[in-house]
Amino acid sequence: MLLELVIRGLAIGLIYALMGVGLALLNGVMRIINFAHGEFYMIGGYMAYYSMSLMGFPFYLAVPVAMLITFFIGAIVEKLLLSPIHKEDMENPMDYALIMTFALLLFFRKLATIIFGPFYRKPPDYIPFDIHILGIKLSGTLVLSGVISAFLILGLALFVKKTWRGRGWRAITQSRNGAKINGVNIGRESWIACGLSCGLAGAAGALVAPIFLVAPDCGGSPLVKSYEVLAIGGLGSIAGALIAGLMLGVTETLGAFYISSAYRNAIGFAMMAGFLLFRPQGLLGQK
Amino acid sequence: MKRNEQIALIVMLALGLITPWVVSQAWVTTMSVFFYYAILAISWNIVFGYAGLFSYGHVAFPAIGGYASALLAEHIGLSPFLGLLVGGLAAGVVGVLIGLIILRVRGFYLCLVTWAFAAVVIITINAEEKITGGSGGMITSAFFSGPHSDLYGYFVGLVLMLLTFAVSTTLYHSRWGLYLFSIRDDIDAAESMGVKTRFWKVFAFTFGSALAGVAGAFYAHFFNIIDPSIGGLDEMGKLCLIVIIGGVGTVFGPILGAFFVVIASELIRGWVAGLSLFIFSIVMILTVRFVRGGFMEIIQVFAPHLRDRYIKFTGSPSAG
Repeated sequence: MLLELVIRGLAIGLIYALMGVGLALLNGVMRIINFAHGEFYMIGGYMAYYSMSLMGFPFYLAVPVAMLITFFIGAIVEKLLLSPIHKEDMENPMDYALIMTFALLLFFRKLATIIFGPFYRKPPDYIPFDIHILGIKLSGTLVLSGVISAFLILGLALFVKKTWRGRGWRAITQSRNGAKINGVNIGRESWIACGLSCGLAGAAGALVAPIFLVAPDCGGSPLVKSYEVLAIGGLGSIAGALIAGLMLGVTETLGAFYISSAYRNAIGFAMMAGFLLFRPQGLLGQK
Repeated sequence: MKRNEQIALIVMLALGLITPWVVSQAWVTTMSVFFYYAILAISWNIVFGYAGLFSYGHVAFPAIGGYASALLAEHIGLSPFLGLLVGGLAAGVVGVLIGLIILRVRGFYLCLVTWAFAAVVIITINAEEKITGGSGGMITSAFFSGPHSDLYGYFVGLVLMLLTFAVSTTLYHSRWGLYLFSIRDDIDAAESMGVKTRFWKVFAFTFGSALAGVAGAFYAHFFNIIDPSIGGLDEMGKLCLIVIIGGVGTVFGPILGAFFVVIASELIRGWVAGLSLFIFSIVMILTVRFVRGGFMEIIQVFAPHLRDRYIKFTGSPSAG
């Protein structure tokens, strides 16, 4: 039982980590906190559902389609709404960016209710059979989504580490002005990073859509989790987000089983609050 | 308080006294909802607008105040009027604790900690069904019984709102208010000038929480029911919207915003059910994008024009 819970927790933790990594990237490049991150998860889920049910796409097309659409929505949001806040000279841009993303959260959630209706949707299972690992039966979709999340996180880490653009992002994270002086086009990098961050959230939503189902308000819980991952792992650290996601997934699954499932969500919050208060830089973040 | 604020206070009192005799019963209830949101918005304005602490979990405090008052009324038969005090006190005590905790964090970490706190409060209320009634909520005692109970409850709300307004205005013009502004604008400069920033941060947070607790107790006893949705995310969205479109850090902003939002959502409800938050979120996006100061900025931009026209009209420069 313990082993089964741990493996389930790890698979869910990878999804949390995927959400958290996107947020860490956005936070590093744009210095904002995106409260609408969970809504991109929701949009990704819906896109996967509709591309599978209406267009008849197989899942290996549906997930990239969901990712692409959320990428463009994220990029448009950044271009239209978020970057002007930073351009104008004002006292505390961060507070207003926060409020803006919060308004976007409400906007997307209610828009989804209007367009898609308040019902739960379930795309067909990506892998319709169970997989046996170490003598434990796991749903194939969960394993698949965990594996793909791991690859996406790895890909992002390599991208940020190796490519020219990733180097630019790291430069912006270290010093905005320094990067600007050295010829990094912050405006362009911002919308690409924002789009990518939202695209990763969309991918997460598309991947777990058959397990957790899609509804207009299904973005709330992943949003919370991604913040917990961000706070535990440390701002702007991809490895930290990965470890934190796995930690959170396992702790939560164990806590829900051994303590009380009613307090399942409180466990993550308590962990986050503890880290923020006693180790504010997180597991691997720099001060 | 300055002259125009005194006038505004008297005008609001007069309007508040006249309103129940002019409008129908349903609108009296709506106005009471407006009082609740106005008190809540003023209290958040003190925390966020005055002291610059972006508390994202502010709606937890009306939940704490409301449930404290409701539970005491149920178990020891406490009068609802004392319940207002107790609610404020309970929220204030919790506010001191959270205020001390958030001294360690700044910026969006503060936002995350307060959010986590609010979420834990709501989860706890939902989980402890035996005490709080879970997500179904619990029935509370009313301020007054009898045929005109709503009307009397309305006056309680009016008095509370005007008191809160007077307190927040006094704070705005006082030395204490200046301490809070200095923390918001430049905390390092404030500290180097000898402002006890740690104390004043906790003060602002506690003060705002206590007021919010009073608002929650009023809500619980006016509507005779309290449920966990009072501390939910939608409520926080509404609160944000009210303060933003009213004008952050201004005296009149929260009241104007609350009035606009409550009345507008009541009017919208008639023809498009369930859409009010959608429309408000668009309004909020546009406000943050284009008129960051909200109503108060618009008024401040137009006020000189109006005065000029008034002077031209009367021909005397002394007016205004």
